[in-house]
Amino acid sequence: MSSVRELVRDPEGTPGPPDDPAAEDLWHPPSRSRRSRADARTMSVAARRSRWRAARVVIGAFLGYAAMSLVVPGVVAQRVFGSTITVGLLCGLTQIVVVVAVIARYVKDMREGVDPLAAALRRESRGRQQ
Amino acid sequence: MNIASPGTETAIFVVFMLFVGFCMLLCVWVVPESDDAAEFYTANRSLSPRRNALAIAGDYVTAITFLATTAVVAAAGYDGILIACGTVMSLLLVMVLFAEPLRNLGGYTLGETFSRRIPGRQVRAAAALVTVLVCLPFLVVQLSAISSVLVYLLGFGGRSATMLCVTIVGVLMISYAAMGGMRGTGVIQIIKVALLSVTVSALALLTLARVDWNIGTLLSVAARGSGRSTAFLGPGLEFGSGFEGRLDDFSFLTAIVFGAACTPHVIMRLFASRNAREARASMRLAVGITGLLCALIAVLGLGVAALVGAAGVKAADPSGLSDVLLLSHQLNGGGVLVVLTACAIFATQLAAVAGVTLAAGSSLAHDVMTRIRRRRPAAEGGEVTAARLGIVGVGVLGIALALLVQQWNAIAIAGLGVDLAASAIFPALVYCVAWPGFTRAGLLSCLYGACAAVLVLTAFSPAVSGLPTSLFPHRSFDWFPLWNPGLITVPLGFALGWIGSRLGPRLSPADFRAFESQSVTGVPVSH
Repeated sequence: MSSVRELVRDPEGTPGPPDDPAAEDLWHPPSRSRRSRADARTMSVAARRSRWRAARVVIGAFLGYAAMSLVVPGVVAQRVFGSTITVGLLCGLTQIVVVVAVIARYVKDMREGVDPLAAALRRESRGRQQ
Repeated sequence: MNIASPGTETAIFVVFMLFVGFCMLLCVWVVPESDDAAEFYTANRSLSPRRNALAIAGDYVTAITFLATTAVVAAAGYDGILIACGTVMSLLLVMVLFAEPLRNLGGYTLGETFSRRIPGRQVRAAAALVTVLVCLPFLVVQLSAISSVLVYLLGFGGRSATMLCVTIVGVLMISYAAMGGMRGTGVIQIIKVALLSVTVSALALLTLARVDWNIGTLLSVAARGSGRSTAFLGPGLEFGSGFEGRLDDFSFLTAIVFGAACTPHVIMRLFASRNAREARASMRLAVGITGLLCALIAVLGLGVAALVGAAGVKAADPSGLSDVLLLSHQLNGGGVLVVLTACAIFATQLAAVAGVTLAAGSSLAHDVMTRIRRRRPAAEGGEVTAARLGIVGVGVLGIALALLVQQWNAIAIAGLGVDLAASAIFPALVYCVAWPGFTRAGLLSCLYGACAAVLVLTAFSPAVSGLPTSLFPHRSFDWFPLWNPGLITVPLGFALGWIGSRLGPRLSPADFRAFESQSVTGVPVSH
């Protein structure tokens, strides 16, 4: 079967180095081909990267927003226009943007960088079982 | 107190009882034909993404999310909007971090998920204990909220009458979970989400129509009605505007964003997807539904402050849990909208109680009871019977506790569950799926240590003693200043997991690679 990595569109060219170089050569289940092992690594690294990027944005955006009330309550209660629209309420609206952006980016990352490799590995593993 | 006129009161009551009867009939109808464990725990992992998304949103937006968030927005304005915001963010966090790995690792319960990474009976027992500990506050708070609504509907408020109501309705709800399993609760979750969405949208639209579709007007009328004038739209009303109060608020929000969706009943729902891609699709839709519901709930809260007013709420039900009914009465004067609201609240409570007891009971059965008799493996039918017993056991304990803490602050009880989930389950799951160095000692110290820390700090917080709203208002042993210890216990959970992992044997890096690969593809890797 052809390498699934060729089927994957990778905007940054070749996949980057794994996060944990110490563990690099220890990934050796004997029943898998060298190529599928490499694919499994690429896939795990890509999945890990897109998950944590999304999580960092969610945690950062929300805790940053919440911390504003803690650190600068005067700024949060500041009126921007009218007698009711405050800085805090406008920041609340940005949270909606964060939710939409995180979901869109995460789903795109997983579809392009992880799903094709995962599907190929599943196919291969079914092939081995038969 | 009851503000409906006698004629409509009877009509409301009759329609409401018909709806209760319908729900119970449904329960008998959806009971699975076979006593198959996979069917009981996960509906054979056969729910379509859309149906599972509705069920996840249903399990997540519980009665207390609906009623208490409205109450907090109505009373504290801006702080309540932050809570609604954190609720959505929490589900999003679970979606990106855990939805797919957990579905791929399979299993029926939290304990089984942990044991895929770190096997062992102790691990499962610890996970079952944490599951029950997290589920109990949620169960108790949903059950004790029943009384506020029933008292409003039936128009009587004696203590023994409320206790009787909570017991009867609680028993009905628990038998629903015990009979229906995952499929049965899934059906009620879907009905509940549909009914809740319709009701919340109708109430929000009518509220907005009252203020000529102008959010600015709604905010200023709400600020006036709340009696707090402009402070209503700034931070610091929920726990106090001093630094300590704001720190408490931040601590609560920390617990919410990490813990609200890390609860066993939501995690168990992830296992019911057909595969990881569908789990992702379901979660995406579920986050969307939750986001919409939370935005509408915030509008309802503002509507309560604007149209009912702080004085009206205080006169009717100081706990604030019947705020939504007061609002619907204000908008619709005892008509069809009040009936709809009452039915939506009942369905929400039924769904929440069923979902939470199912998660706790399943964990007891699957991680503890069937493991004790390991040498003589139980038949599938035996396991389902054990799960039903577990559900009944947890349910009875929940009802008893709900009767005991009847008058306690709902936010404080729900906050305890959220704190436990954020401090024990969230760090354990993060380490499990992402850290090769996590060991059994790390997992156990994280689960037990964080739970103990949360329980101890809560016991000595103002939630339990020292204030008129505390559990023991006349005693005073509140040396810990924060209502919610999340700000301390979440980092502590991570620290305990890390320190514990210094002890004991580690997984080899190759084994972790295999585990990680399985968490993405769903296929176990052979060595």
